[in-house]
Amino acid sequence: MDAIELLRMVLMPSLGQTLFMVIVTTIFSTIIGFLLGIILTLTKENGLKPNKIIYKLLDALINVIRSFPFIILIVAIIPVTRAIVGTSIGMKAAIVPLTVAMAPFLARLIETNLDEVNPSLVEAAQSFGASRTQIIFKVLIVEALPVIVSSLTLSIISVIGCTAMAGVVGAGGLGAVAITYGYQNFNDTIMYSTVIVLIIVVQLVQMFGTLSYKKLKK
Amino acid sequence: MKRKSSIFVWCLVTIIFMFALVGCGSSETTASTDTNKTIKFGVNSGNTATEVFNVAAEKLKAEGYTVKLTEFNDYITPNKAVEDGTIDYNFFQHIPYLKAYNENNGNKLAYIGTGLYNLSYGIFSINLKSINDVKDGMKVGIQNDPTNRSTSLHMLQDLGLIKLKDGVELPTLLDIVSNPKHLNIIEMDEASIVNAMKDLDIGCVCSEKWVKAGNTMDQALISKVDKVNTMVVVTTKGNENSETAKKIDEAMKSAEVKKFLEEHYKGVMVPLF
Repeated sequence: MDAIELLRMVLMPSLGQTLFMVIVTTIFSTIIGFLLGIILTLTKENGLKPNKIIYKLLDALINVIRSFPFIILIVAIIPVTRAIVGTSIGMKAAIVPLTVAMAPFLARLIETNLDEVNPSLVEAAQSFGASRTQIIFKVLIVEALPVIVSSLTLSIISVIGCTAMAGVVGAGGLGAVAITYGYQNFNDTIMYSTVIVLIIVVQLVQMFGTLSYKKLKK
Repeated sequence: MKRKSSIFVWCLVTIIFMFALVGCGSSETTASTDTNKTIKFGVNSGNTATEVFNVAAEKLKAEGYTVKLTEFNDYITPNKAVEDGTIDYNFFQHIPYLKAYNENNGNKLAYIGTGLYNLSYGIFSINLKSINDVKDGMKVGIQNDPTNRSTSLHMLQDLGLIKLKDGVELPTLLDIVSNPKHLNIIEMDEASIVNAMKDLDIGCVCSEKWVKAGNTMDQALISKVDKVNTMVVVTTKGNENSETAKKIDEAMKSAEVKKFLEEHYKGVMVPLF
């Protein structure tokens, strides 16, 4: 089988799989990441509603999850994955560990982003009698939005890298093709072609991220 | 002016010192290869071949050899390391794999002697009782490296579950011409197949992996000892008949190794000595 045909038959479907995994993971992680990030910002010592116990617990939990090397995380949470999607193999199954890995990462970034908002803006809002919800959504998030978009771009790109590892458990995707049909089959054409496709995907994500950042910053 | 010359002297001293260090280093390595008593060996960390090698290594150590073991995590870098001289020998592969590797990588490696043991392959399941229970659309896990994938696909073909294109030496999923039961064949890492068995209907894998995970061979729907897949110690071409190579071959074929295989992997890894 010549390389071109091989590329057409394995590369195109796997690009679809990678994009599916990345998009679904991003949607779930953004929701969870935002929630966790906001809770962290609220409950920290100088936050709007300090709560040592919740903050410490979440803080520790996030650190624990982030300590797992991704390949081990996939295997370690197999029972959870099975409980949620009913199986531990395939694309849908890979989304669980991908989300578990990305959400805390994003939560940390969002926490930092919200921290960076000028405290005098919050004080000003408080003096106008703004409620806590108003401060979160109308001041903190609005002010931090451009950097949050940058954080999101960063997370999406790291998820693209992680999907390659998910290929080990039969998730498919470009990474799996690069390893199975490229590296292990001694086929450099396939290996480097998949990498080139990944480079293009990452470039596009970064370009879009930077563009949105600039737009929002104005 | 004086300051400049002192800097120059210091530079000179440093350079001489560095050369002296490099010199020491290289003379040390020549000394150790002269005695021929150090063997740099590479194995794959998750592989049962490593357990077998450890038994043989004790034997070599008793004969006065120093065995330096490097563990790898895949099946390509240990061969690359032998090629570039980082290690002298490796033990993780069977003859068909070596052949496929050599064909794609300049034919630089060779195996010692005639080979050590044959591997058993099996189709395992925890959900099915018999291979006849395989139904439409079931999930089948197969190994994702070229030679073991080929073995798995051929086993499925022998059972009449799929049909492969004729004349392809190492078939992939793309060489399946007919799949009447619409089996969902998933390529996975061998350890993942065993770990994800609950989610697969059947898994085709080297029996040693299955047994190593604490299962037994009675759970096999079908198993066979492949006469072709013979495990070999590999080194660079030209070195396979050296004195050390012969010593390694002897150690690998020792009574201790045979006993180990029979005690722990009876019927799974079948010795040829």
